[in-house]
Amino acid sequence: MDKLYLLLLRTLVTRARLAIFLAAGGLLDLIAHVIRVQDYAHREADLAGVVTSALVPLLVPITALVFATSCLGDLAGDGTLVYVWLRPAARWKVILAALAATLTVALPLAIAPAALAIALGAGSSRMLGAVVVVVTLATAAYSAVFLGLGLRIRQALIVGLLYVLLWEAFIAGLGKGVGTFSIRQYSLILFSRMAGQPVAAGTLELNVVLAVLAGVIVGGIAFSTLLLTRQDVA
Amino acid sequence: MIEIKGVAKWYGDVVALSEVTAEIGPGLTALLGPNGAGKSSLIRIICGLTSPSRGMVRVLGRDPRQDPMLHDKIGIVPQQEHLIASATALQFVSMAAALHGRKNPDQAARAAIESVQLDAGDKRKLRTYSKGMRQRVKLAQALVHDPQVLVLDEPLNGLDPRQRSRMSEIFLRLAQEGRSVIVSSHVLEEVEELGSTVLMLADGKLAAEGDFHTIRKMLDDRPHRLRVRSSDPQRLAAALISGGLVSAVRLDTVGGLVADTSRVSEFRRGVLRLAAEQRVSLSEIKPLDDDLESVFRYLVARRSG
Repeated sequence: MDKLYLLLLRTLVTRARLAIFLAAGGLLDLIAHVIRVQDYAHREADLAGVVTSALVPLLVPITALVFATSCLGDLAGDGTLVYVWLRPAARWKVILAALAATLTVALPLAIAPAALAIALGAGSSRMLGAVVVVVTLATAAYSAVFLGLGLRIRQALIVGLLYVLLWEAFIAGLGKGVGTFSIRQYSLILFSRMAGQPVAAGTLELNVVLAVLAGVIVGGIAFSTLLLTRQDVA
Repeated sequence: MIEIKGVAKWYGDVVALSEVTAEIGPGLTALLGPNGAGKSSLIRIICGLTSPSRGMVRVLGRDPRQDPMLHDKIGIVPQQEHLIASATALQFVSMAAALHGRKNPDQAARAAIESVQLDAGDKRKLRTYSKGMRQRVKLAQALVHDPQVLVLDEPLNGLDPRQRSRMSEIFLRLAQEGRSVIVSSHVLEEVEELGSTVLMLADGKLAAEGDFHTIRKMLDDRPHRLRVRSSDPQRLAAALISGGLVSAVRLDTVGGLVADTSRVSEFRRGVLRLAAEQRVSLSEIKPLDDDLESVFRYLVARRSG
């Protein structure tokens, strides 16, 4: 699968995509720098606010969305999926290769600016560790879900954006019930527990939150595998 | 090698294939038909890329849709031109070899690329390749695992005569090696060049099948309609009827006559002789239904009724 992984990686990395996400990450870092310059008592809480209002609900899911939907979705769109599909390779291995390629690009683009933001804002090492873990797990969870979306829906980017902006960032925050079905909510609870910042309500144990995020990743892989198996290939 | 039984495929209200039954053995088989005849749908079903809406296909006795391991025995050259543009030919073909579990994918890829007369060491990206070169890369990735069944969807489309001839030679060589090679085309002359067994599709139905000579004879024996312009159409029409060269004739409004005949070669010779005898000068003899679409339509109507 290493050759498929490398080939998918090549299709994912484009200058335009890199430029957009580097710019978005730079903006996050600029905000963190401003927080540090102001140098006041609630700096740590304000940095946590950047994580919970910009990083987790926007940068992470949108980075995962763009790279995960295009990883196999671009191949399905331009008819080159046949070169991957018509092979005697287990479908789950293809999905794992696609997920690995997606994470290879998406993780640095999400983690690097997030870690830099914590450093620039003079956040604690505990917060830095929390951000790295949360961004990694959330990016993997979103990517696993969006891989299948890219395979099945031609306008996956638009549908995914609506999901991120309407469901994850808005509706899921309205109540505890709907929040149960939101990757963002679990990511925020995880950050809250790990960073020791009261940014998300919830009584869930850390183990449960980790298990749910792991379940989303495994479920996303299984669902994408099923979709790939049943895919009508042009 | 390939058994197709009562296969139908529809997309919503559009019927792409209807009750197609055929058997394809080793050697070269051409899938001939106009655009939209259902060739690509049948190819996709044979390769397992989509399911038939009805009927069944077996390749080497196995279901290509349900048995991914069968894909090790099938190679496809799809119709679409896109390749992974950011890869080199070696990277692209090597990925195919790796997915087929070849122990040394790079070595297998080099051999496949060289077998289609390309340079395996070429460092250029596929996006810079000409259409003919891309077709050969597509063929190389289909050959890299040495498949028993090779399916090529319009592989000669858009190639210049030299490239076409080179590709045809490769297909014939592969067929002579004992593989089942299926080549689809909408151009009769291409199929003639391959000299293969022919499955002819039109409007999603199997219109005819047999070796190329049988199909050619069928095409020649069908009723033809020709327009003949002359200095005296009425006199010529009378001579054609009495000479028994036409099954029907009518005068048209622009100084000509339209004749129906099922013996087109005999008609062409006879009309020259009769015109000379009747001292009528000819200015045009033009077939009115010689396009491939009408030939296919005739064959479908003939088969169904």
